[in-house]
Parts: sequence; C-alpha cells; structure tokens
Amino acid sequence: MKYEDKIDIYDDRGTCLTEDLPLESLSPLINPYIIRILNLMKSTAFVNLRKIETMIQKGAFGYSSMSRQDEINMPWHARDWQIVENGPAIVDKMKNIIKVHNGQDDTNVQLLPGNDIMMVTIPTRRIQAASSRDPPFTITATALGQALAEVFDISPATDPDGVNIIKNALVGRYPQTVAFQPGNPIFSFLRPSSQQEGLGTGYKTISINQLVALAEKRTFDAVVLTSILEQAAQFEMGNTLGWFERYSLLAFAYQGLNADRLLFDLIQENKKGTIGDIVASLVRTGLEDEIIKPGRKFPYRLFSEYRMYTTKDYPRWNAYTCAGLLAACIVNVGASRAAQSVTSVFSGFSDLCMFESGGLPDPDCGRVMGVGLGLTKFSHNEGGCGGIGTLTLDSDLIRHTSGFISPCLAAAMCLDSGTQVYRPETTAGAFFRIKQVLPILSDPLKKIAEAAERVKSAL
Amino acid sequence: MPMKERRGKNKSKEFQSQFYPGFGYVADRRRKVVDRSRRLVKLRNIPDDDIVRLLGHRAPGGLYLSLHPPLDELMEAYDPIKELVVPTPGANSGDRLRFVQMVDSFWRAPIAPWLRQRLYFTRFRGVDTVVEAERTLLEMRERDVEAVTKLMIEMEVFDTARTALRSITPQGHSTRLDEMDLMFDARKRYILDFDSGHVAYIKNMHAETLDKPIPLGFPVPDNELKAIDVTFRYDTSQYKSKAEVLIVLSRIGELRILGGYKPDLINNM
Amino acid sequence: MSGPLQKGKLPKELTSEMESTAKASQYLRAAVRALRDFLPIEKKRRVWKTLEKIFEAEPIKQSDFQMYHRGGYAQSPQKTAYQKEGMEIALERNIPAYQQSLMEPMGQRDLRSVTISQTDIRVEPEALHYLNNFAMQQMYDDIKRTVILNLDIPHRTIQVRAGKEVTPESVNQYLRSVQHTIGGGSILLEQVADVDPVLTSDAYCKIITGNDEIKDFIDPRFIIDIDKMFHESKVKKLKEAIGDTIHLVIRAPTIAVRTADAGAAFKWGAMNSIIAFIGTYRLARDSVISDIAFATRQANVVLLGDRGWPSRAHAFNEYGGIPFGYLADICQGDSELPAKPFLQVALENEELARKYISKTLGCLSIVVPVLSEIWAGLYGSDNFSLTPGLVVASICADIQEDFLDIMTNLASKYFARITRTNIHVVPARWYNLRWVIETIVHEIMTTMEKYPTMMELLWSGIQRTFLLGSMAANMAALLTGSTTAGLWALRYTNALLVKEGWLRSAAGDEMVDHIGMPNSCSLRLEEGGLPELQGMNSPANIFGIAQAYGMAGLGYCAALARGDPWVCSPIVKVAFADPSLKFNFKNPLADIIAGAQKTYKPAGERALKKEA
Repeated sequence: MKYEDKIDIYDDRGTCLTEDLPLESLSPLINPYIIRILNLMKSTAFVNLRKIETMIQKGAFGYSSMSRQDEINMPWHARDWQIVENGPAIVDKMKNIIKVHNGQDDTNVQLLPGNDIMMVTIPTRRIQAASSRDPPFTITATALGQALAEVFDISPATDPDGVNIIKNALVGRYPQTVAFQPGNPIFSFLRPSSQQEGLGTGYKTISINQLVALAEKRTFDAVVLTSILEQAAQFEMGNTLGWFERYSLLAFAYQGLNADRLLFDLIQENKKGTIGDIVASLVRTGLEDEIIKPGRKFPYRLFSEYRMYTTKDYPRWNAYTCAGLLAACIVNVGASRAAQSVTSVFSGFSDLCMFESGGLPDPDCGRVMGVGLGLTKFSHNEGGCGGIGTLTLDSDLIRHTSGFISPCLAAAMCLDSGTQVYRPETTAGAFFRIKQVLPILSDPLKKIAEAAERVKSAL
Repeated sequence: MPMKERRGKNKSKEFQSQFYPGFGYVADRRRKVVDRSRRLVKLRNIPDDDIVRLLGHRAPGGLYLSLHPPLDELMEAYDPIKELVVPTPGANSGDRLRFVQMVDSFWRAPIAPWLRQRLYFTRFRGVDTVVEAERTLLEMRERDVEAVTKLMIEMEVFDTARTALRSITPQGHSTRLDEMDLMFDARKRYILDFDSGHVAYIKNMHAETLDKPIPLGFPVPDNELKAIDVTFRYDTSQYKSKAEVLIVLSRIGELRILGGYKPDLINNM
Repeated sequence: MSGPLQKGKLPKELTSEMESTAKASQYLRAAVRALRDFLPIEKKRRVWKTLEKIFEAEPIKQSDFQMYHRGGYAQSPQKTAYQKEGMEIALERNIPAYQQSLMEPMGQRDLRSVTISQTDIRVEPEALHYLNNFAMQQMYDDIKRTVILNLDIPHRTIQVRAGKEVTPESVNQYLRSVQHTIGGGSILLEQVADVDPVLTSDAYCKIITGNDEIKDFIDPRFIIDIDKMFHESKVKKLKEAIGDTIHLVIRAPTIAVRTADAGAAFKWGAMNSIIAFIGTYRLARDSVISDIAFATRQANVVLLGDRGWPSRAHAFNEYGGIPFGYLADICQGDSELPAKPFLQVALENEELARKYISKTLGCLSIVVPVLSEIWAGLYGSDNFSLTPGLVVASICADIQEDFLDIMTNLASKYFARITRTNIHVVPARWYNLRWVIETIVHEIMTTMEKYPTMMELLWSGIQRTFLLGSMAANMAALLTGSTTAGLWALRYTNALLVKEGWLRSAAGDEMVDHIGMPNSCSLRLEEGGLPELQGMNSPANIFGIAQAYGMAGLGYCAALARGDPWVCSPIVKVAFADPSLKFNFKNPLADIIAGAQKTYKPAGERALKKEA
C-alpha cells in the first residue's frame, strides 16, 4: 500500500457507506467503477434523428450560428426522407456495419425512449485500436451515412446531390471548418479532438450543463461525476504524478466524495449561516482534528494575539480547504438559489480563509482565487462568457487549477432554481433521458464505495 | 480523520475567530467590520420607501416581479441538499435578481472594495459581488437586496460625500473632490443642500430624476474621516510600519510559491 | 432623516473605540506637520513641476474648484475637431457617424492634454491612440514583417545537389537579386505583373554574421554591422554567440503585411528568397529546386511569434506569439552602453546608472504598452476603452521617470556597495527580496496618495497595477539578476501587497497574479517556465494585459544586472540594430512624438498616383 491514509465515505444524507478505504482505491487508475465511467465517456455517441430529418426537410444544414441556426437556406436541396419512422431499420444496419467479428463484440445501438435519439456504443476493440478518442464521431458518422444511403436508396446514379446532403447534414461543413456545426446531430459526452486546447485535456471538453443533466440536478451526484472527469484529466495531463498524487487524491476524496462526512457536516452546521461561519467552522475542525496547530519554533503569537498556524501535512489541509470551498459554494447558492452567486465565492472564501488560518495558503495555493477573480469579471461584464453552465471544463477561464473549481460550478447549476438563461434543460435536454437507459450513472457515490471495497484486499 | 475517532472528541469551546492580523486602529477597524458579533454603528435613519426609490428597480408599494414560482410550488427532482440549506426570503418567493452598486472614493471613504466583499460574505447570505478598482456590485434577490441596502446606507460604512450609489457612469473614484468635498459624479445624482447641510439625492441610482429629493444626511469632514480610515496611508497609518500584516502577507506569498512547486515542502513551516 | 450623526462630528460611540490609540484632532496636527516639513523637498521633484504645468493648480490639492464648470467636450480641441468632421461625414454619406454625447455625458470630466516625459511637448490622448498615431502602427508592422533565415544550409544544398559553386561574387549577386524579388519584382519571362517599387520601397534584406572574414567579402551595404552598432564590450560576445554562419534578415513590404496578416511576411519572404536563388545560380525548375526550397524556408527559420491555440488562432509573427524575451531584445536603447553589471555602475556613478535605466526601460516602455493596447483592442475581447491608458501611464507626465529615479536611488544607496565584495548580484532568495519590494512599493504608493492630480491621470486600477508591478519586478530583477525572482516580485506586489494596503486592486486583472504565484516555479506542463520564454499566448497570461510590461521589463533588468548584451536571442538583438528600419528602435520616443504631431511618414502609403 502506497499511502497510509484511510477514508470513510458518506452519502448526501449523512449515512455511512463504507469505512476504512485505502486512499489509492479511489484513484482513476484502480477503482473499477471510475474506469467504467471513463470508458463510457470515451465510447458512446448519440444521434438526434429528428434533427437530421428537420434539417434535411428544410435545407438548412452546414450553418455556424448557435441559436437560430438558419443562415444557410437552400430549399432546392431539401429532401422528404422519413428518418425517424425508419429508425429501427437504420439501427439494424448500423449494428451490422460497426460490429467487430471476433466473437467478443460489445457493440450496442439502440433507440432511447421517445424514438428520436439513437445511442451508439463503439466496441472496445475499435477504441483500443485507435490512437485518440475520436471513434464516436468518425465511426458513427460514416456508418450512419452508409446506413441512410442504403435505407433510402441514394447513390450517384439515383440522386447525386443527395449523397453530399447526407454528409453535410451529419457533420456540417467539416473539413472546411475545423469543428462540427453547433448543436451537431451527432454528439457525444466529450468534444472532438480538433477542438482540444492543450495536451491531455480530453476529458475536460464536456460542459457543466451536460454533467448536471446527467445527474438529474442532484447536487452530490453532479459533484461526483465532475470530480471524476476532472481528476481523470489531471492524471492524463501528468499533474498528479509523484509529489502531487496524494495531494490530488485527498482533495478528490474530501471534496468530491464527501469523505469523513466533512463536507456534509460543514453544510449542516451552517445551513442558515454565511461564508464567514464556514471559514470559522473549517478552522475549528482543523484544530480539533489536529491537522493544523499553532506554530512552535517561530514567534507565533504577535502583538495583537494573532496566531500563525502551521501544518505537518499540507496536502490534507488543502483537501480540507477544498471541501470548505465546496461547502461555501453550496451554502451561498443554496441561500440565493441563483447559480451566478458561485463565482464570487472563490475569491471571497480564499481571502477569508488565508487570514483566518494564520498565513497558510488558500485552496490549491492561490490558483482558485485567481480563477475566481477572472470568472467573476467575465461572467458579469461586457466581455461576455455567458452563463457558467455553458462553460466547458477546459475553457480558458477555468482551466488553470488542479480540478477543484468545476465541482463547485456543477453544484451551483444544480441548486439553481431557474434564473439562468442557458439552463441544462435547454442546452443539454437530451441528457436527462440518457440516465434512464444507463443505470451506471445513478448513485455514483454508492457505486464508487462498493467498487473500492472490492479492490481493497488486492492493495 | 476517520469519523469513528472524531466522534469521541469534544467540540472545542474556546476557539475564537481571529479574522485579520494587525495592531493598531486600522486593523481593529478591519476586524470590526468583518466580525458578525460586533454591531456596526447606525448613523442615520432612512425610510424604507426612500430606499426603494433610490434603487429604482420598482415603484414603492409595487409588487415584486418573479422569475419562477415560489420554491414551495416548484417541481424539482429529489435532492437532500436542497432540503437542507435554508433559502433566503427572496429566493423563497422567486424574486428576480437585482443589484446595488456602490462607488467608494479613493480619498478616505469609510470602506474600500475588498473590505466590502468581506463584509458582504460574513454578514449576509446569498451574495453575488464583483470587486473592481472603482466600484463594487452586489446582486441578490430583490427583497434581500433592499434589506441589505438599507443597512449599508444607514451604518457607519457609508459617508454621503465619499460614497455613492451609482449603477451607470460610475467613474470618479480617483478624481479630485469638488469644492464642497463631494465625489465627482458625471450625472450629478446628489447635491449639497446649503440650508440643511445634508447631501440630498436628486436622481436615483440609474440617474433618473426623482419626484422629491431624498436627503441622506451630513457629510463628515476630512479629519474625522481620517480617524476611521481603513486603509494604510502615509499620514495616518504608514504601511511600512505595519509589521504584523507584512509578516503574514510574506508568509502567505512564500508558502504559495513553495506549495505550488511541491506541496510537501511546506509541512512544518 | 434623523440619527446620531451631528454636523461635523461622528458619534462618540464610533470615535471612542479609537480613543485608546488616536484622536481625530491628532491627525490634523500630525498631517500638517508632516507636510510642512517635507513640502520643500516635494517641490523639487520632477513630477511636481510637470503636474503643476498640466493642471495649472497645486498638485497636492485634494479639491478641484473648477469642477463642472469646464464647458463640456469643448475643453478638448481634438474632440471638437472630430465632432466637426463627424458632421461633415454624416452629411456626405447620408448615414450618421461620430457624434459626442449620444451615450455617456462625455464632457463632464476634466479633459486635459498631457506632457510627454522629459520634454515640453503637450499632446492630447487622441494622439497616442494606436489608430491615430501612424508611428505606432509602423512599429508593429516592422516587428511583424521581419523573418530571419539561415543561408548556410541552402548554400550547402546548392553545392552538393545542384553542383554549382558558391563564391563571394555569387553571394553578393544573390544579395542584389533578392532586393529585386523582395520588392515584388518578377523573374518569369511571361507577361507577369510587377509591383510598383514606390509601394514596396521599405522592403529589403540584410545579412548578420559573426565571422569577420565573411564580413570582409560581402558588400558593406548589405550588412548589419555589429562593430558599428554596438559598444565594443558587447561586440565580442555577440560575434561569438552568432558564430561562423550567415543569417539573412528579410523585411517583407509593409503593404503585404497589411493586406493579409503577419503570416504573409513568412510566405512572401521565403518564396522570394528562393526565387532569387533561381535567378542567381541559373537553376532549372526541377527536383533540385524543391530541396533548395526546403533548405531555405523550412530548415532554419527564426520567426518572431508562433501560432496560437485553436480558440484564438492567429498566424505567425502576431503579438500573441512573441515571447517577452524577444520584446526586450527588440529594444536597442542600450546597444551603445558598455556591458557592465548594473550594481558596479551604480557604485561608480549614479548619473550613469540612471542613464542606463532610462535608455533601456525608456525604450521598452514604448514598445510593450503600445503592443499591449493593440492586443487588448483588436485581438482580445476585454478592456474596450483602455486606450491610451497604458501609454499615458508609461510615457506621460514624468510619472514613470519619477519612479525610476526612486528605484535607481534605492539601488545605488543600499546595494551598490556589495560589489566591493566581488559579487555583482544579490542571491535570489525570498528573505533578501521581501523588504526591498515592500520599500519600493511603499514609496510609489505614498507618492500616489500625496498627489491627487496624479491619481486623476491614473484613473484605472489597471494603470496602477501596470506601474506598481513593473517597478517592483524591475527592482528585484536588477538586484538579483534572476528573472524568476523578478516574477515573484511582480506577482506578490499585484496580488497581495497593493490589495492589503489600499484594499483596492486592479479590477480582476490580477487574476494572472494569483495564479502566477504557485505557477512561478512549477514542473507541471501548463505552468512554469522562464518569463523570457512566456508570451501572451500562454493560457493564463491572456488575461493579464498590464503585466506584460513587467514580464518583459524584468528580463531586460536582469540582463542589465548581469551585464549581458542580450536577453534571450543574439540574432534578434542584432537583427533589430538596423539603421535602415523605418521605425527607430534605438530612440522610439522621437518617432512617437512625430506620429503624435502628424509629421511622421509611414511606409507603404497608398496615396493615389496619376498613371503616366
């Protein structure tokens, strides 16, 4: 066993799920549930058949605007194909095309309830043979093109324009454009790698609204899912090797997984309180748990009786402050039920925390405070990043930390009661239905704890 | 620490928050503003209707407009956290989000932008602020923001000459004061009434003319303001002699730099 | 209104808390005493005289008796002239145009013309906007249109692959031919169109080399002569660093870079230098030419700026991709000063030390703020009305000059004597730097508090961050010769020191400083790295526009402290030591003033010429 830390996991009602888990059993490299979620993210694609049908019937595909999507208007290229009606036939054809014929195939193509969205699971062999995470887009698009051509009998001999229409309806103007059209009918959890900004940031290309929709706006579930993806990305970027591994895993446990019931206790004690109260509770808890103590070797008590604290285990204190940060966000947004209140908490909590804890650094050594200042400025002024829900986890504004900001943003969007313009219901509406078909996404906390129990003995 | 060890521990009763380092009246004042258990002195009484008129978001006596149904009637999926955290009265009724923006002059206003943010976060709930060099925005639900504005205008942290309520054209924090020692306002929202000696607002926060001027009280002369200044200045309280604050800041800076490189370096520092 | 506040007195409940440490009346007496003692010294300062001239009132007065009585936008002759032009344009084209007082009450504030530092010239801020001042545009164009290729590799390829001889005469012939092609002249025999040479008269190529023998056989018109342009103590080091090779510095025509974008400089320069090879060595257009083309345009190209990330994709040579070390190397103010460690110079002669500072930082304080404003206005999406805030803060009203006086004074008074013990620089440790940074920041903050008129000129928190951060960073780098120490000073000042002193910071622009503190020494992939090699394209730096000056400045000051002739690249340093460049990088202030007074003639003018 690499680290001697033991973690208890509690759920969002305060009941204990497991006790005494070793810290590495929660790592994305080891925990089986997390590995399954990551594979799901990498290998699932969705197709909005109704949108393809509407676009082709109007001749409005290959656009680049986000809301109206109507600047391309070519009614002479419209076709009257009944795609949604022929859904089952298309599903069968696609299954045949994508399947790997080696006897261990796990392809799955099915229609979601409502019959207008198709879910495609790319087989593991194709993912393993690929060098990137683009198969959900490339394979689904090509297979769907061929399936549509066969079902509606389109070929250069019968309908030459129709062949090209299928292509532009499925992927927009690609490769004339670097990215697909906004609101592309073929979408996945993550974005294609041509829009990636930086090495190893693949898992961060999902947006907050999508995660909130996957969790059906239940706060702790959204926090868990966001934390999993963020920490997986940090592992891929190499930010959690060596010196930083215990630092990141502890913060993941305390902030993302409600370890030792710290997060829940802080929220419960201060459910009618302010952020100042949370800072005081946090420092008191740190003193009681003997994580921090007054310094001994230097003059720790100054003229005004101010005490400077010291810690013998900084990664653990950092985990405590990150949990405090999430508790402060939840209490502030829970009081106002407006998601925009979360951005100022990052700088406010860090500011109060660094003076209350006697000179110890704020969460993540100051990166959280910096991101908070930039995010507050740009989400409230004419620079205009829009609402926080539409941000992807690797947006320029929030990518600078080690992954401790996005769970707070996800929690805020869950607690919002309808004040935002870009809500999960409007921008990620399809994802609400996906949870009914994929039971792996419900009760993530419980499943992580059980999976960790199973591998506990092997460590 | 695992819960089974923590359950046996007593909650320490002698813990007291220490808020801010520093010896001297400036640091004392910064601590007083942030400490919830200490009462801020009330300097003036302003009627509630006048506050609503100053804010200019609705007419006094009018109904509150709402963004969504009251929380009791809203159909939401089950979430234990939503049942746990207590929402504010404004959020409960589903009000829309409104704001108040205050500008503090550089020349001895009773409070400054960062201290305002700390005040909002320690004394009020459900707060959304933006701290900038010249102005501080506060956005909350409409009911809550009216309650907070009343407190902020009546307490000692508002000086009628050096603090102003402005939503548009907020420029003027660093310009010189005019001949009556009021802060520059391009839209002339307030004047000094020579008969009564009060500063009166003739336009509301959005620079729309009011039906009747709202008097807010006496401005305070410069030397009295210097006595309650919260910033370190060369003639009242020199920054370079504030050893405590500088020691703590230097510690924070050094630990941030070392902790960003390798977190375990700052153990036992 | 009722309440306990009496006229002229705060309630006892409030002031009695302060009784134990101070009384209100004591402040009045102490402040009057302080000012009476120090007033004669203050009056001798540079910035007192300049501010008195600009504002026509005592600079330390806190009240402005003429407020609201100034006459609207008519107080600015420039804006009045623009209003008239706007009306004429609107009548001519039948669509409304520039019109004052449509939105905000523009003329209410005091609008003044400011002096340029160290001169008596008064300009209005309009003259310092990058779209009004053609010298600023020419400066950016001169940077964008420079590409540096290496000639040894194509020469070797010609000898080996094409079997032709490369002799001194052929090299000179090549250099003459490339001047023809780079100006848009053609070499194909068909009826191809040429470009009017008057439009491209600013396009040329020159050679850099570190080998004296090579220098002897090349025509002296084509060489950037290191011996003539640099002080003798720097010449040897530069020549050794560049070595026995020939670099070709290409200046594409300004009009090409303005028609397309900065990437055109690379394409134009590379293609035309290959074509000049064809003409000189009588090459056929067969497969050999492909090897030579690769050797010329791909093998060893030194571009000033690199491409951006997909979300902000700009071409080569745009400002976002230029590292801060190159920006410091582009400035040529110090090329004639001897290469001596700064603290040694300060020990011997404080005036000379001040001259070092004003030549180096004086030059940088024009290049970087102008480029930062162009970046903020045209490439970024924030700070829509920052112009010309940064330029006013850096070159107007002697503000920065005064602070540089303070900096040099501190360095020579307290630190120069360590050079007697055989070391040139202070070791770069946090406890060495802490009190230095605090002292200089405290000095500048008190100056700003004493002069309300200066605060009126520095109306934005971003300008104050710009000045305070860069002074602290320059000081730390000057003393330690370490750029990382300077970076610590920059981040610490902007993020923590100024915030706690005034409880007022820079409006969200200090985001970079909070993130920059843990990232200053870091081995993670997206963090860390020397400041000389960072640029505006690095993820966090995009949001820190004011800090770019500090980052470039600290590289320059660290080189001064060590006594090094260049900051990051000797090739770039020599490439811009070119007297034929349209913009004068040795004394940029003269060109900017000419641009402000509308006497500057930029290159590539498209004035309509009658066809013969």
